[in-house]
Amino acid sequence: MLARTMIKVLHTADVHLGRQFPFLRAKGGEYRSQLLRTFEKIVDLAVSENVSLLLIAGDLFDTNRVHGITIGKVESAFKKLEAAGIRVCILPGTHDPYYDDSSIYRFVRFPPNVAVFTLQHGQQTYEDLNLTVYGTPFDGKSSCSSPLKELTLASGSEFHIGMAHCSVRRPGLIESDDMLLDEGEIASSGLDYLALGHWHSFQDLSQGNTKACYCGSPEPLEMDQKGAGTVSLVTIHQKNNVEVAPVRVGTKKFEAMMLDVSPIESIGGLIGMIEAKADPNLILEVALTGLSGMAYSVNPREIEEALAEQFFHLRILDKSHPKLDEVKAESYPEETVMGRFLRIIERRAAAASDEEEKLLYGEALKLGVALLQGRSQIIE
Amino acid sequence: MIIKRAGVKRLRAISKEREVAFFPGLNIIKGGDNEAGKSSLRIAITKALFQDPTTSQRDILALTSWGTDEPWEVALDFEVDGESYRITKNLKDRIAELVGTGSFEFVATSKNTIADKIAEITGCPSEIFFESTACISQDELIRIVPKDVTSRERQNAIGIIAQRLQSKLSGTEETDVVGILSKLYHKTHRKDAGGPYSNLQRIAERAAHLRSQKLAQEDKVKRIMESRQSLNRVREELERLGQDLPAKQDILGKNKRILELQKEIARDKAQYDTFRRARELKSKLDGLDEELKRLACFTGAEGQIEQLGDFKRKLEDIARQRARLQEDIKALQGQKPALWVLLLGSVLMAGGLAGLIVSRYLLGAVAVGFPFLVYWLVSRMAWRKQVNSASQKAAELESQSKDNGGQAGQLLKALGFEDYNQYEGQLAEYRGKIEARKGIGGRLDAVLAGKGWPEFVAENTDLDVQMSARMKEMEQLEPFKLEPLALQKLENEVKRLQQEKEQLERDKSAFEKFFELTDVDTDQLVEIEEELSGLDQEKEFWEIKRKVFQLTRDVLDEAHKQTVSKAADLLERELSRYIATVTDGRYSQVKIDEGDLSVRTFSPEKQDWVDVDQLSRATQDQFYICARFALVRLITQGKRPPILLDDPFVNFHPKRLKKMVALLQELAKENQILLFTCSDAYDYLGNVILLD
Repeated sequence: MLARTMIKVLHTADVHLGRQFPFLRAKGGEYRSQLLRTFEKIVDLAVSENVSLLLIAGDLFDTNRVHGITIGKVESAFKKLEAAGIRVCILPGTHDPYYDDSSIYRFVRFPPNVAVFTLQHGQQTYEDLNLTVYGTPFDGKSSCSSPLKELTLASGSEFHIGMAHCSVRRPGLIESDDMLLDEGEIASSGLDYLALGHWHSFQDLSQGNTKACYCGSPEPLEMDQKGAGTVSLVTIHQKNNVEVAPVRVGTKKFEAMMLDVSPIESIGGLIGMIEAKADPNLILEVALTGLSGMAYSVNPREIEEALAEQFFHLRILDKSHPKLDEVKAESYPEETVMGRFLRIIERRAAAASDEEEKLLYGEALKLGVALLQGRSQIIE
Repeated sequence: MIIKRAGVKRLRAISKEREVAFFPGLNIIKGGDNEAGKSSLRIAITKALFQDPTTSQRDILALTSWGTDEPWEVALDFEVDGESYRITKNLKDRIAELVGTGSFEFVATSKNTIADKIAEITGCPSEIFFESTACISQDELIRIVPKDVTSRERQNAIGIIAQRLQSKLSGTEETDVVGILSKLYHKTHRKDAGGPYSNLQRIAERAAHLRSQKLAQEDKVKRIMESRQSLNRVREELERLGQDLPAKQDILGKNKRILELQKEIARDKAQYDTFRRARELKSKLDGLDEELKRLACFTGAEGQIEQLGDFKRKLEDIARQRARLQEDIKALQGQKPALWVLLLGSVLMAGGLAGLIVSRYLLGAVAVGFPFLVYWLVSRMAWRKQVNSASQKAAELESQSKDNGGQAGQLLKALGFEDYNQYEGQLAEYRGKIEARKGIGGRLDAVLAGKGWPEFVAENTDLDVQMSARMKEMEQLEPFKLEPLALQKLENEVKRLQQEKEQLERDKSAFEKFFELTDVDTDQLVEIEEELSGLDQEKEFWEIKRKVFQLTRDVLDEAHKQTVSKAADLLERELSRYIATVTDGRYSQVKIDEGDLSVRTFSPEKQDWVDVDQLSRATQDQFYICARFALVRLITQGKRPPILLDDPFVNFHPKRLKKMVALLQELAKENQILLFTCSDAYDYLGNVILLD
């Protein structure tokens, strides 16, 4: 009896090449380049792991509008896979749909080892692997349709892999999307593996004898994507014996934190606390809360610039308020400028029509006190 | 600050070099007349402290004494907090120098460094400020701020005075509220100030630039997308044509082949008929050749045949001639001259002659009968000649006939014929056959078209096999055969599709060339959009900052105004104290205008507030001198600069003067006072310096 050769497949999705990152400001272009480098890293991983197939379960491109060097690099990557004898299956997603006339997949001529799944071409059989891959892209019309609807497994293949770019129904949480899958459908699909895309964090949603995973985005794309940065290496040993291992390929981490500035006495102290998180691969968002002392001024831009070199990107959101009770009008004679200033501000702040105006007066008070105390450098 | 010595050259009335020494406290500088140089000395002191030596202002250069070539020079030795200094200003060389002449090492030659040091020493940041406070001349008495200054200088001086008063009051002497307000204003209104306004302008300019770039990029990207869509459509059309066209071309090809086959088969058939006909002709030809063998004697005997023919013709000709001749002879016989003519003639003649015997007139009968007779004789002779000629000719012809006949007979024998008719018959047969052969041969040649018979046969050997194959092919293509109209339609359709395909191929090449050459990268547009989004966020931040700055400024300005007015109160209080002293309480309430520091007082006579300008000149002098004294004390930041008085009490009544002098003596305890006068009224006070 001949030993059956195992089948190795690399599953990725939601690469979002060409994506905009406005919140990264000047680093947006660099991160976009990083997405491309990570994609090339995935291709290298496929070659080094000697996989038979690379599955891209949707949103390889962030829009159909992508044109230029990015496409050239993707084509080169696929040619590299072709040279290594690795086939590629691409399922168009929600960001790079096929139904669009200007679909990138209608335009780019990938090498022959690449199969793009369309409504007309929903499956691809690899006889040498005894395997058929299935995929149904979104048609741009229906809503909440199941990607596994009308799935009929090819009789000539022993192994069956599905690709779907969709959400999985979570009662009360996720009830609708362009394409929606029920967990029960996974179990009854008869597939050996279902390669999922659309959600950007790794998740195992295996049901019954069908292994199913969201592989996650290779690089995180938003602050809340803690589970991103991986691809899935799938090994099909035999029927009902499928192994899935997440493999880290991402280089960056996103983290959001809140920092109470109330106990901080100087801007240096504040910077020091943030600096403790320094990591050149970290994209950190710090929300400052609490009450800031009157002795120092919180300037988010200055803090960002001071620590720019120590993070991939640092974003400071100032939600703190000045500690107004540190400065009391009654501490200053009324005939002094300071005394008059404080009294006028307090009067106007009390008459403010909304919180926003009150906050402005709070900031004006802090600024005025600093200036009258000779700290005019804060406006330089 | 105590001025120790002043050195003056070529300034106004001091045309020659002059040095004057001073003392602490009250100094009385006295000159005998108005040309002694008192004002010049006072001006020299001011200029020594504050004048920029590099100036080219005419009014400054005009201070040079008349009749001198070089501009003025001044030098001042003074003491501050135990340290000695010398300051020199040289307009000729446009240089200034401030040197520490005591134990304190200090050297400054930069005019800005010197100005800063003097401001620090005197507490007066400018000449106008000094003039407004420490210098009091006769014509400046009614104002706190000199009148012949620019509006900006006035505002500046008033601002500094007010700020100094406020700082004094608030104890925040280091805080320049006016400066802060100015800075806040600049930050919120000026592009070069580096504040919220500047940043918002920068953001707006950058955003405007990016938006125009974005429009251009979007246009390019739009063109790319449209071209992509078009290329996709072209490809899809080509794919559709790639499936549709070949089938139609195949049907068309088959039908064209059917037509070709029809022609070929027809041609084959024609060819076959031709071949068959050729074979028939060849067969006939061969048959004729066989028959001609029998008549071989004629072959190559054309000469003889021609000769025979000639003889034959000649014989026939001779025969014809003989026949004609016979006829002629016969005709001649019939033309024999009539005997009656002879008879008549003879009769007449005989008669005539006989008659002569009878009558002469019967001679006429002779005359008539003679011609008849002559005529008959002549005719008879001609006739006889003709007959003889004809007979002779007939004989010749006979001879010729025999001759030719003989030769012809020989030729016949040579050809193997005994009988000319036989010969003629066979010759006719021969000729007929030759003619027939010629005809058949000609037709055969036409069929062969220059080819030899073996070659022709070789060509047509497999004709039937060829025909059979074509017929079979035709049979196979028959199901695809279309009616002529349908075929024409199909042909037009295929042509149209072919043209469409060629056009699509051209379009596809053009699009592919376009994409090959275009350098558009959507990353460029994304970067612009990213930056615009970032600018929006930054704009929000700076908008809030600007609001905060503006709010701070508004409130600070309000607070400042309120305290400036308080500062004016302070000045009013100090001034009220002084003026009450020097007027013995007549005037004790004072108000100072915050705008121009002009003074009003409560008039007990009028029971109302009046401008000091409305009071007597002497009273005005008193008010403003006191105001100057109050200012000096309040706002020179404790520096105690020297107070220069240019005979301000010249109009004072002795009683008033006495009170003013008392005030001076009080002030002289803290400030050096230089009183320039031409009056002797102060001699008793000591420290009199004579300029005469």
